[in-house]
Amino acid sequence: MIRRTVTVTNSAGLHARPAAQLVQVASQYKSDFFIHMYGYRVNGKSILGVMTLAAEQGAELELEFIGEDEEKACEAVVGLFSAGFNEH
Amino acid sequence: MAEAYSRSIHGSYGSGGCALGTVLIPGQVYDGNGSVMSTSADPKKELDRFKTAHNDAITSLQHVVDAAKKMTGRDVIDIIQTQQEILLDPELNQSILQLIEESSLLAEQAIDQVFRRYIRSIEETGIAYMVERTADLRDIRDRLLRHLNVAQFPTQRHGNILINHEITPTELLEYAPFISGAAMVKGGSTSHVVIIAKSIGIPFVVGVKELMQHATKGLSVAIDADRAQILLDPDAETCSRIQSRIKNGQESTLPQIEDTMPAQTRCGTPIRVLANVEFGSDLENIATYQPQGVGLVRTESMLMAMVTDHSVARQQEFYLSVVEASLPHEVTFRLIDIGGDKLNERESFETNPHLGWRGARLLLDRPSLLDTQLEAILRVSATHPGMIRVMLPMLTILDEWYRFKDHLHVVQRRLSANHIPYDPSIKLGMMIEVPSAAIMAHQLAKEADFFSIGTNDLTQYVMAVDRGNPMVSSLYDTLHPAVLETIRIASDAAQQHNIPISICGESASDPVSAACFIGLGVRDLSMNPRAIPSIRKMIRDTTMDECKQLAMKLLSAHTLEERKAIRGMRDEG
Repeated sequence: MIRRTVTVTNSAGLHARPAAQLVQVASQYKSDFFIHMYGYRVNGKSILGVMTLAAEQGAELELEFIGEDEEKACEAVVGLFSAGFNEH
Repeated sequence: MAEAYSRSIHGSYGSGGCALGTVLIPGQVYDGNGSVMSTSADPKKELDRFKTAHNDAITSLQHVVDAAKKMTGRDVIDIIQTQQEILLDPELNQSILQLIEESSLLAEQAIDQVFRRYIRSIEETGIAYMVERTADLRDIRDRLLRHLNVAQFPTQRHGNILINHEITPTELLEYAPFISGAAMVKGGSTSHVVIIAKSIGIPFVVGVKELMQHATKGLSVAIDADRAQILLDPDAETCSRIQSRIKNGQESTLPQIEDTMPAQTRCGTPIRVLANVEFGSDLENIATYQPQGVGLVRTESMLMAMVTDHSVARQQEFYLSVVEASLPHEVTFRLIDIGGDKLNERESFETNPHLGWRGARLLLDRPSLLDTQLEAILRVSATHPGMIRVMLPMLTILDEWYRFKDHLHVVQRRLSANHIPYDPSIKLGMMIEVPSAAIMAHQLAKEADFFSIGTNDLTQYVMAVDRGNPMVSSLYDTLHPAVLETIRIASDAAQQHNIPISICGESASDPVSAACFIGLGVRDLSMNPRAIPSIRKMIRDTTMDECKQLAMKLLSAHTLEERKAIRGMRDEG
C-alpha cells in the first residue's frame, strides 16, 4: 500500500472534467485507489464518489493505492495533481 | 385566420424551420413516486433486467458519442463523455445491484433510489456548477429506465415530431434520425439541446407551456419554428403552406445565385446580411450562404473548448480561420462573453448571475483573459487590415469603455515595442444590450466606431424577465414597444454620429423583426446562416416605406393581440 498527500492546485477544484480525467487515469491500473478527505473516503475510480467529495482549490487529499501496480498508479495520479489537471 | 390562431400554441424560438408530422412522446419513465411499487420482485430476474439495460445503455450512449463527434462542438462531446463515465461508475452499479439483491426491489426502484442518493449528495455540496451536473445524472438514470422497458423507438423513420416536458441533448441526438421537428415545455433558448438542434437543423420550439395538454400522442401537428408556433391538427391548407415552406427551406440550402447576391430592399436600399459564427464547423456555412461578412463571432465557446491552452497562438489560429473564410468581407469579434459561473471561480457564486459578473465587467477584472484575446486579434489584424472589428459585450457605463481602451493601448504598445505588426485603426464597437447603454446611446456613440445590439439580452433586461423560466417567459417579447423604443434610441444615436449599427440577436433571423429593425434604421443584420436566404428574400420583397410603417405600428402595438395581428398580416403577405 502506498499513501501520498496531495493538494488540489487547479482553481476549479475537482469538478466534473478533472474528476473524469482522474477516474479515467486511475481506472487504467489494477490497483484499488481511494481518496481520503476530511474523514471521508471514496473510491477514486468512481466519478460520482470523486464529485461528491467536492474538493476545492487548496483541499488536501490523501491518496491510497493498494495492488500490484500501485507504484505506477500512484505516479500517474499524483502527476495529474501536480500538473493541475492541465487547466491553465 | 381567427380559427387558425385558436388551434395553435406558442412557445419561444429554439431552432428555425418548419416540419409536419405526428406527435411522438418518448415512453414514460418511472416517475419515482412508487407508482409501480412491488414487494415481490424476483431479485434474480431484476438483476438480469438491470444488467441487460446497463449494457444496452452503454451501447446506445456510444452511438450518441459517435453521432455527436460528426455533428457538434467539443463542449457537447465533453458532456456526453462525462455521462459515459457516470454510466460506467463501479460504485453506482454496485449499489444498484446490491439494493436489488438485498431489498427485493424492482430494477426501476433500485435505480431511482441510488440516483436520488447521489443527486442529493451533489446538491448538498451547494456548489453551483456541481449542482448543474445533476442534469447528467438524471439523463443517465432515464436512459437506464428507458432501456429496462422495450425500446420505444418508432419504426417509421420520418414524419415524427418529438414532444416532451424536457428533451435532453442526448435524447435529441438519439431521436434525430426519426424526427423532423421537436418541441418541449421547458424554456431556455440558450440551452445545449437548442444549440444541438440548430447544429443538426431540427426545427425546435421551446417553452411551450400548454404543450402536453394539447399535443397528444399520434396527433398530427405542424411546427413553424421560425414563428415559435405549433399548429394542432392542421387543415389541408395549412399543411400545404407548411409543406411549401419546408421545400423553400430545403432549396435555399443549395447555393443559388439569386440567394447569394447582396440584398437590397425593393426600393434599392442595401442591407448587409451577415452571419453569426460560434464553432469552427460554422465556417462551412459561410461558403454555402455567402453572407456579406460575419457580424458576430462568439469567441467564448471556442475558448472554453480549449481546456488547456488559451494561448495567443491557439486563439490566433481560430480567429484567422474565421477571417479567411469570410474574405473579402469584414468580421466582427465579440470579446469573451461569459458569466462568472463559467470560470468556476469561488467568488463567482452569485445569487443573481444575470445581473452579475459577466461580459465587460468580468473581462475588465480579468486582464489576463482580456489582454490575451486582444493580442491574438491584433496579431491577426496585421495581415488583414480593415477587415476586423472588435466589440465589447455587456457595456453598462462609459467608464468601462475607457478602461477597455486603456487595456487595448497597453497591448498595442507592447506589440509595437516588440516590433509585432497590427492594424492600428481596428474598429472598436459597443454591444448595446443593457438598458443603461441604450438610454445613453447618444453619449456612447461619440466614443464608438459602431454599435451592435444583442436583442436577447436587451429584451431580458428591458422586460426584467428570464426567458428560460416558463412561469414568466411569456413576458419575453422581443417586439414589445419598450424593447423597440430602446433600439430606436440606439439607432437614432448611431445615425446622428454616423456610425454603423447592427443587430446580432436571434430575432434578426425572424423576417418580421428584421423588417422592423430595418424600419428603425438598422442596415446590418447578423444571424444564424441558415436564416440568410429567407431574410434576403424578405428584404428584396419589401420597401423601406413598408419597413418604417411596420416599425411604427409595432412601436404602438401595446397589447399582445395587436402584435399578433400585425404578425398575422405579414404572414398572409
